[in-house]
Amino acid sequence: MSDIALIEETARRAIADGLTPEVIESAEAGEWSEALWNRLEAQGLLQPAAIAESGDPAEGLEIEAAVIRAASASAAPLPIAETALAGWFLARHGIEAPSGPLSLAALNGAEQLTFSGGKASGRLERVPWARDSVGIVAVAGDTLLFIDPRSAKLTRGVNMAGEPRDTVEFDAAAPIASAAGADREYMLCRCAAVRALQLAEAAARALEMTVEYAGQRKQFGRPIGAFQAIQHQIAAAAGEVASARVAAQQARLAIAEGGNVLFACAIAKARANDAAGAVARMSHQVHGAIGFAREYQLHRFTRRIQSWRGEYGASAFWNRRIGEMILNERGRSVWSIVTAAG
Amino acid sequence: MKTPNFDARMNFPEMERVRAEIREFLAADPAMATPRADCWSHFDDAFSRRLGQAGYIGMTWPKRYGGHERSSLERYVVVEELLAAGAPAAAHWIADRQTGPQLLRFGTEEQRQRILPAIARGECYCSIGMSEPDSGSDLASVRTRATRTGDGWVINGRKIWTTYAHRSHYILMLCRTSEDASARHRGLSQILVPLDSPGLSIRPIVNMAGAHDFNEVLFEDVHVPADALLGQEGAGWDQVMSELAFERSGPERFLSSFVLLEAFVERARREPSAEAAILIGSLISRLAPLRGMSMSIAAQLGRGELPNFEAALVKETGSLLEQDLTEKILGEIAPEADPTSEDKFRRLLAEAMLHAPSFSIRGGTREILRGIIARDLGLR
Repeated sequence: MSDIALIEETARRAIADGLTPEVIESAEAGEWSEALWNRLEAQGLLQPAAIAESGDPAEGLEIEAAVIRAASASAAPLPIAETALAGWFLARHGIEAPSGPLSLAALNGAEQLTFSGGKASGRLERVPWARDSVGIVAVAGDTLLFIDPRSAKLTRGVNMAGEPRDTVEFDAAAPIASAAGADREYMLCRCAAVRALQLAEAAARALEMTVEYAGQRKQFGRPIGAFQAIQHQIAAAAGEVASARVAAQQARLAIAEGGNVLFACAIAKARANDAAGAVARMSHQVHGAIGFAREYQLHRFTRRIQSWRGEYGASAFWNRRIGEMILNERGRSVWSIVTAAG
Repeated sequence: MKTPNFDARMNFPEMERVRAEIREFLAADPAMATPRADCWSHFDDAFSRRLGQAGYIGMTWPKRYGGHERSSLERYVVVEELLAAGAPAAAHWIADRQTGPQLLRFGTEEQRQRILPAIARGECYCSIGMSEPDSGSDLASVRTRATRTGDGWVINGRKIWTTYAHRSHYILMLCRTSEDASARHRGLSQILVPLDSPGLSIRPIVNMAGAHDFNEVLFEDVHVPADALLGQEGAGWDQVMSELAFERSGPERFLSSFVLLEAFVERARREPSAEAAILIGSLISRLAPLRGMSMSIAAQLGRGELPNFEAALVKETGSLLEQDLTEKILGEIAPEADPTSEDKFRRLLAEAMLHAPSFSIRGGTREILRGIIARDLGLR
């Protein structure tokens, strides 16, 4: 087993051991899953990329992806991806990340934050787990800010999966730290690439549950998976999962190797949005009524999929960006753009 | 549940070297004055000979058989560049993609030396002899029979949808060589038949685009020598299955009408719109990961693996994309297709639309491919 696979397996086990039905229920009710968080932190599974940033950046991203795969495949109700992302940006800007959950605000244009005279003011919407985090990474102009949510007015919100998405308003708040040289678009791309990976892995798990269910559920005297009408829906979804996973990997490679980050991340998010949406629809159709029931676990994945599709850019947003990039490169063939991007 | 194995890490400098070379070759070639939609169904033997002379056919084969001992990823680059440029690549396509590799894997030394160098020169073309009038998706039901005689085989039966049989040199047949009804699959063998054999007749089948690439090939007491057998007698089914990873995984499953997208973008650059940008993005965001998947398979084939599951996934998602590309451009934005137009975009749109139904049929129908995927997922 490679190091990356070993890390993924370790994370899977740690989450599986700590994610009891009681933990799932209390997280759905809005409670912070302290014990599960501590378990993962004790294993050194949080902020993996920030840890590796000092060494090989590509390896750091692969370690981060391994942990996020494990978290997404079990729908762990914690800001594991957000903490990794925020930690990675802090490390890049030479800011030491504190221990504890982190968040970041990289929405596509809706938020406004200003920074002058050492104080941050403005409003950030739908910030993941702001209420539970020890700090939020955000960008004002070209300054990276690391802000304490306790210095803000916080209004609670959730996404369809019950994950906290809070609004925070700052009025001349002094950040914990700040650094120059931030790039909002780069941050949005990096976040979109991570959501793409989460979507691909949640979709992979929904597909796996559906294959298992179709093999067990019997109607008309045989497993429903023996019917071609079912087989073909599931087969088409397998193609969606495979391409979403590859798109997420291509985005990671572009980030690690300094390729066309905007192009690769836009493709990854658009592809994962549509792929995961199709897999969610198919999974519910094949599961029938039971998949719609709260007691059954499928919705933990499909509610995340339907929430994440809109976060950090829905498909039309990214497809338009890709199309405009191509249309604006007058004199260059589409093919030369596609092949240059890797 | 089996998980497909795709790895999009592809960063080899030799790939970009060969890309620059083939682009230079194509830019200077006279055949490229008229790029074609569904270009690998356009036959131009002079073009294939020039390509062969330049070393772009049989690229991965050993030099002693006329090959060039380049990597499977270098070959991948050449193939995708031909498709993206709309090159008329039909003449050598089947021989380079699957008949040659089958000869390398299963052929005798004599067979390889006799046929492979001519294929690599771009002078010898091959057809696929799988489907029959009563055997399409149910391939194992083929009835064309090869019977042993004193010095070889006598073949009787008919093959259909044999692309360019009328302009090729060999047909690689899947024949029944045993009548044991309990061994439907084990009674099959592959036989390589010269298309000018006495007793063999070729009848054209014109397609809905008005082109003649298909044929029906009739075999009436066609005699071939014993060494026409490819591989083992009775192993035809397994051999054909190993051929399909080559047939199904390549970039022709999603790039055959890429020139239409180029022409659409040229047009949209003159009159930009948000709808056009979103459509272009929605196609590119499907194409880029597919390309990664297909290249990953090329690397696996180069290592001697047979990724049939992955190949089925590429063909299935690829043919959907190819059909959507044409469908969305024609159906939503630019309906004025015209196969006779001087305008490149209108002509390519018509060519692509009139070929689109074949995308999810040739090389295994959508239904067969979804069945293969379902089997590998453990559903059957």
